[in-house]
Amino acid sequence: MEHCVRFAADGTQNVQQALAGLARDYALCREPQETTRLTIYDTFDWRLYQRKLALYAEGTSLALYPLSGKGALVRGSMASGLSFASDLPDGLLKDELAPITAIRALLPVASARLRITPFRILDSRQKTVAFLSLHEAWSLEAPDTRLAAQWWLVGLKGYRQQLKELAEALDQAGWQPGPRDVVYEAVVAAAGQVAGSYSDDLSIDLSPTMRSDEAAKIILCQLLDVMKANEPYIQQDVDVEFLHDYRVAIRRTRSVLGQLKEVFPASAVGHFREEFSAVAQRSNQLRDLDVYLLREPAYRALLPHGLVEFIDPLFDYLRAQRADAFAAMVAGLQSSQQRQLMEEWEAFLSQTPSADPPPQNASRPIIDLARQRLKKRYNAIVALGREIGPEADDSALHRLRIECKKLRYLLEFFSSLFPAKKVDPLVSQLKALQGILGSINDLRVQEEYLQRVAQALPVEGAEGRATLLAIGVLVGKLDDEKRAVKGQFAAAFEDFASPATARAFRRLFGAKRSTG
Amino acid sequence: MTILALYSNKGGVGKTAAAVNLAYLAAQSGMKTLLCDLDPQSSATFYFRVQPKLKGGTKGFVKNVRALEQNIKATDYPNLDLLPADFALRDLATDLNKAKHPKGALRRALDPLRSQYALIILDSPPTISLFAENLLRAADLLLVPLIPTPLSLRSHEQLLLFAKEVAYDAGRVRAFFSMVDRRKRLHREQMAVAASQFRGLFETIIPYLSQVERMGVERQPLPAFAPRSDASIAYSNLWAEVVDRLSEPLTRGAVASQAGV
Repeated sequence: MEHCVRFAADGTQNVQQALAGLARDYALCREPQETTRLTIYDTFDWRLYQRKLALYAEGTSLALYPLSGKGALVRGSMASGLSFASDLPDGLLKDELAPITAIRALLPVASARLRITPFRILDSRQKTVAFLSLHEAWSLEAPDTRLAAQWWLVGLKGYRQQLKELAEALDQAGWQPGPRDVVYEAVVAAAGQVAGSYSDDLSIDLSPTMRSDEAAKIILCQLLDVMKANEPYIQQDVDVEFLHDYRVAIRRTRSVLGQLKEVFPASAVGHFREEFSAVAQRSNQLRDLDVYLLREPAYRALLPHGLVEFIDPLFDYLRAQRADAFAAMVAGLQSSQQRQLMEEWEAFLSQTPSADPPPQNASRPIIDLARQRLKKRYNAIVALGREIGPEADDSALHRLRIECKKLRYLLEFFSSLFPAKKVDPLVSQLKALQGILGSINDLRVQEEYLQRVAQALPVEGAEGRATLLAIGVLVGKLDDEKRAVKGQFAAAFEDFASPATARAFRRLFGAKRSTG
Repeated sequence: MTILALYSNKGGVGKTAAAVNLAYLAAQSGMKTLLCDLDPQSSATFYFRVQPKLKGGTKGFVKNVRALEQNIKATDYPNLDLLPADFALRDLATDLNKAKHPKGALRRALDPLRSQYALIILDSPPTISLFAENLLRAADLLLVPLIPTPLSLRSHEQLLLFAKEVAYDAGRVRAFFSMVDRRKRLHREQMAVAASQFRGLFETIIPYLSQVERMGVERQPLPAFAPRSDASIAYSNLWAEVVDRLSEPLTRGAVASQAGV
């Protein structure tokens, strides 16, 4: 792989002069200028940007540059359009990208015209060892507007020592390093985008003395933004995470409405909870099918060699079901009922109707309400968990899972009100418990679903019997796994309910008089 | 990923020129290509202006396969990398013998590179030894340049017998005429003899042209500095035939019919 170093462009640099000190070893050869259309790609949640990487496409050529000033440069190409990194041709770029982007699709973020002025740097054998190139990005809309410029020194594979020497020579000639990729920044900004602006992690900034209804609205507005951001991509079926994030935003919205009691008028709360519950219900089937289809490779890996091929009818069936569920989901999103709900909800958040008498918690400082709810939720979990015996009944574990989720959401909503150093360990413990409860529930739901599908699957004859046998094997394997995970429950719960954790919760969230 | 080896147990038959030009043409067609210069004379390395040096000598082929990867250099052409030769390669056959399973050592050494390249071309020294057996095991297709002379034909016959002896799928040993001078009656006659004697000869003929020798002066692949020359066109045709051959299934039946030569 190649390595590269970025330098700032100040408009006065002279390549010949800068490398004059090294003239004995290197020769410089000016190459023809090239102009291409440059497109920056990233996932919707900016996974590459978060890893300090920039993926540039020029035609079918792709290059992954370090956003920090220097590092490895990985090149590759795409067969046709770019979508999932896993669909790229085998090679270093795929190896690099696929684990980062995982199930998220790559989307074009911004485009510009790129003019490259390259200089080839040759060693004493007249062999190219590096390229020093001026990259200038120009606006596509306003062709005379130069957005940004910078230099890239790229060492060819196997010539790192030479790259180091050349970088040092430029440094000594007064060239400034380019720690920021100004081309990336300018092209993204010109497209009206903000790198890193979307994340599936909430970051809500509240102040402790804020009125509870104001604080709740801040949270709900952010969740509404998440719904609005994801919705168009669900309809285009770009990747399955759009629906997932959309559903989480709805669940969090319902959680705010359900858990922050007496903050908004009861009638409105009742109405919106019901409506959002219906939206969530309409998306259940599509999400379930997405998850089963994502698990296809894992399911196949669970089957003995001789049965793998007979599982195909199951996935054919699931894919057909998914097509129907997707059409229903899109119809739901485009329905007048949905439009009306979103309009009503936005109106509600921008101007909450007054009620007489006002709900009793509306003007209460949010810190008080947060403490009260968090403490109550923790105690509820401990009480519920204590009732679960060594048998660990599935439905009791399911109820506990729901309680844990409610607590987790509260911790996310109110994280800005408490010191991270104290809250984070509690969140980690909760996550561990949730991980186990989540796995048990997933496995239970999968088992039940596969058994239902086995009844509905249109199969017949010897092959059909083999398909049902394969499904039976899967159900058995999932059940084994569920038992194994259940074995981990008691320890994780004891950890979470331990006197030390209970004390930490009491200290953090115990009743205190607010300062406001 | 495909591994092609240019091989002949005779020297000076146009192996390296073919390896370099085919590698260049493959890379131009978009295939990520690695040319491995396994010949201690390091001619391919010279053509690409790279220093003939392998850090760790032959170690990368025998013990530490990661060492091979660290020695790879980009050439001046897109999609084309080179594993340079080193004078130490003169001992490669002896060193391969020290490996745990000597006959498969080369194949194993190339394994870690499979995911990085669509094509690996091996340019090899003229020898029938453990090295040749390694080559046979590593390559999906062995390309043999054949000068139409009685001695050349005889040595090709020996190679096919050797392949049979070491139980190699001889259907994957394919020859093409190289350095052909059609003005020579002997060349014309021997080409006819070879055509009746060996199956699966490539149709393309690489002529004896001084342009090919100019590669040593220009230190570039021929299609890079003389793309429209007759010799460049011949290499392009050969590459097209190789691509066709690679897409054909090679059956054991084809082996049996050829092994009788």
